[in-house]
Amino acid sequence: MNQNQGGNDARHDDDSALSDFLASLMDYTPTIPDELVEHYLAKSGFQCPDVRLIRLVAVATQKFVAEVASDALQQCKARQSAVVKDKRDKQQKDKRLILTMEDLSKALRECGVNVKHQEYFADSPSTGMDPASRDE
Amino acid sequence: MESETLETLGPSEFSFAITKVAVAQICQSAGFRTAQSSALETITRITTLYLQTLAKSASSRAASSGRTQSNIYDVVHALEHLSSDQGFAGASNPNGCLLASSPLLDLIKFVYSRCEIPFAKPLPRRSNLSQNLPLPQNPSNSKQSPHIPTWLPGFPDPSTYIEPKTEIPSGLNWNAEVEERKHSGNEKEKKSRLGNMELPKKRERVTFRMGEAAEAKGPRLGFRVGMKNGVCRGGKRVSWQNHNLQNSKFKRPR
Repeated sequence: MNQNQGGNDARHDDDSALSDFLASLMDYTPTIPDELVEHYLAKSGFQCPDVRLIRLVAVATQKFVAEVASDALQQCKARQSAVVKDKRDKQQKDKRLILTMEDLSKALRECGVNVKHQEYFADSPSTGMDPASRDE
Repeated sequence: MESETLETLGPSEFSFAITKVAVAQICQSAGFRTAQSSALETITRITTLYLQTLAKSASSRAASSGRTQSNIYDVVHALEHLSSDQGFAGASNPNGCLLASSPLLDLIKFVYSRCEIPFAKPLPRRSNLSQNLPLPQNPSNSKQSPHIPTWLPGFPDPSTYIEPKTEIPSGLNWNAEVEERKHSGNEKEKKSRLGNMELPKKRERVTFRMGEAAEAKGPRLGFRVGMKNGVCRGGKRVSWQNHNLQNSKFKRPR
């Protein structure tokens, strides 16, 4: 799989580091299970007999989702820190960190994904009047 | 996520539900406690699209290099392609070594820094799933037609596509049959069921005259096969399904 053309030590170091990494991947269990990754890979026409590449794709996806989630978390905390009134409220809100569409759309916009969502669903005349007390 | 809900889903919904569980686990490890259902579904959809885009990019890269199976270079290229939106170090250098590209190095750092989060529930192995759905086998195909794979559906009832054999006069014994039909006279012909595929059982006598200026006489129909410098220029093949004795359009004008 690693096609060594011969050559300088730097490339050999890269190759050895990469092969060590791929070997360690077999010990690491990605959150996205292998069967699921294989299903989506087969659906997209990706053929590879090497299990390490499947793990590589799985951890790449996991890293992407983790980045999006952490960006959304930062957005959520930034929004909460602006609304803090006193210490008691802040502790209560820290326990309830909710992944909302607003934070998610802001986090995804950095990745180039435009997600549009409805601001609110009006099922009563008072909907949308007080956003702070609205719960999903 | 209850197991009963998973069993009643279709295949695509099943994989989506599993992905939703995995994505929820990742979000929980990032620090979230709860999530809006619409937000969770959105991020799950983005995850499946990301996974498929990685795979499509890598496989198209391999295909354009003349390979059917992707290797690590294809995957790293796909990673770089998807990271080009946000940018990464070394993106402006096209000659850099692929194995030292920064998306790959970031991925290595990510794996080494995080402790693993295994999936919440054990998934059924693919072999178990295939036992529930037996592939339809057609043993008749394997015996009579070994060139046809057994997983294809069997042929329909032979009476639907095999016509009962009728006498079809062969072209080689044309003269002999014309002699036989001299005694049969004008007989009505049967229209074939399948149109052009089968000649009618009994036909009018047909005479061919090679050469020019051959006129049809009476009920007999004549063809004039055009001759040019002694070489026969054949006419078109015609079907006798709807023939008309008086129809003169079969005569080729010379």
